[in-house]
Amino acid sequence: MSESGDWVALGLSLRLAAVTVVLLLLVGTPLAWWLARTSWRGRFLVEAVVALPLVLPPTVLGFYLLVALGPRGPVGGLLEALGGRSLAFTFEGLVIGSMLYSLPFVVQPLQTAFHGVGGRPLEVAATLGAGPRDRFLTVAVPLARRGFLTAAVLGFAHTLGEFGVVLLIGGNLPGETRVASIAIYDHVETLEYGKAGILSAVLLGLSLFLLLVVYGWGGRGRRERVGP
Amino acid sequence: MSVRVQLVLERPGFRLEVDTGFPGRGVSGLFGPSGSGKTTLLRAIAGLERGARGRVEVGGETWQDGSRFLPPHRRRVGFVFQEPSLFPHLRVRGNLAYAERRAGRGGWALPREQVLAVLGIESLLDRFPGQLSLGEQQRVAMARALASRPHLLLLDEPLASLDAPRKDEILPLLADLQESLRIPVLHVSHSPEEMLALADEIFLLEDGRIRASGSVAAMAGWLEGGKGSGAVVLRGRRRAAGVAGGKATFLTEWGPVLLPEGEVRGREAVRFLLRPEETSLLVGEGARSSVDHLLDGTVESLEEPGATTARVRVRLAGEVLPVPVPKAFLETHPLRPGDPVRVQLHRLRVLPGGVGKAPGPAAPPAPEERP
Repeated sequence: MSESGDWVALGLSLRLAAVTVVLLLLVGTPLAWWLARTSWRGRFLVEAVVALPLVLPPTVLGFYLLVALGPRGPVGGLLEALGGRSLAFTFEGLVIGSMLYSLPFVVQPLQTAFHGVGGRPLEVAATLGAGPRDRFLTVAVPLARRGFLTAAVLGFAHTLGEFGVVLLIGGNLPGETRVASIAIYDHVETLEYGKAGILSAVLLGLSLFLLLVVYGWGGRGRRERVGP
Repeated sequence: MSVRVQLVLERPGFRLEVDTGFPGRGVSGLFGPSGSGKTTLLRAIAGLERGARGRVEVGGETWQDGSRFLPPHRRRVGFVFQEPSLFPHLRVRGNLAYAERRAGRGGWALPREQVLAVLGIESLLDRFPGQLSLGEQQRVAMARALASRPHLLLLDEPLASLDAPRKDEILPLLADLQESLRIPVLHVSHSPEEMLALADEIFLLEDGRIRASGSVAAMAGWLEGGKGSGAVVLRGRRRAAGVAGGKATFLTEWGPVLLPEGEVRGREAVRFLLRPEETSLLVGEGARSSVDHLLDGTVESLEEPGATTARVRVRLAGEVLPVPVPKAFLETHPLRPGDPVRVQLHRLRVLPGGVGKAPGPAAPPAPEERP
């Protein structure tokens, strides 16, 4: 394995994490909004399913995805029948796996944040003439902004560090599915501890930096509210 | 521009059932104990209670009837909640602009400068709500409600979250604003003082129903110590050049009264509360009294509620005041309905508020405000 291969793997990890987070925010925001606002009794069912990736071994999730996305699986088979290709061992397949794997890390902070906004500001906005979409964009989202930051950073960092799901549905194709965490595993397998160490240090630094952003932002936010 | 409300809302253990009209101008006070449904009624009128069935009509617009339900953002309503509820992520300026932008052309129920000046918030425009006191926040919330060009202003105990000094500070401002508004105001409170100082009409709410209603003068007895206490609210306007010996003359429906300048503090219009037990009767021609306030009236009827005291119901202009007298007095001075008497007022309690122009007979008629 070359040094440049490691940088390709790292770049792939970052691209995967970025794409996953953007898509998850698009899907997760309405889901979190609905979970925070609904009075439906069956809400706990959805919440449990969303939380499932927190406790499920990644290999289990990866296994089911492999079966579903592969050429003989329901999703992969359908795609092949429509003239596409199965998603197993592709970047797109990794994105789908990562989205499921990181779903709770995005939805839960958003749900908590939306819940924290409470009903009152939205009622106030309504009496001032703001319609539902207007209220959401001008009141709920700004008041939940910290939740968005937390969701984005946690989703990004968690995707960066995934291993089991990627290994099962992505395999180890350089430039396509070989992400940084897999590269580290490869280096250790071949006793290249030096290279594994460098890549590990980069991931450690990156993750720590992201968490510092989340916690540092929170502190500034608190001061903003009381300071001049 | 009147307000017609016919609403039913059922919840476990509670039923709101109201069928009434509110005057198209002036302050209607919704008074009642907590849990009587005051807040729920306001929320239902604003469209914030989806479960409310019935009709709501404001100034010829139907907000709700059997077949349609306008959502709150389509009802031209200004709502001031019990706690200030400013948007914490926007400065005061931004909070006001939020309402202005959505109010469409025209904006503001009163001129912006007037509202900001009366409420004293010009200097707060660049602050965030978190940097304001509760009283300041609530003043901004009132300005914001007026900025949305409402056709109806709903105030849900806007002073309840404030301590007594803050309340005394805001009450006169509120009275001043409400008197210059040309839209109907529904003001919810469980404070008799607030109602007496601000409301023109009082609606008494109990267990989700309106039990009684009437002018503030007529309902003062209900508010002050319950039904039949006989308390009366009088409104007076300052008479020009009426200051003598530190006292100012105010003209009321019942005649002129003198009030110490220290109590009225330069106000143009005041309301005062009159309790029957603080009055007495003066009978006979040429009798002299040591009391400042003597009002001429005629005997309406006699009541004998106690063993030793009786009440002479005296008609003064439009209202009747039950003046307590000892029974022995009636034996030596027999009175019959129609007899002229004079009532001595021992004490006039000046109510807070009423800084601005009094809504006297000279007040111009309210023009219809339609979009």
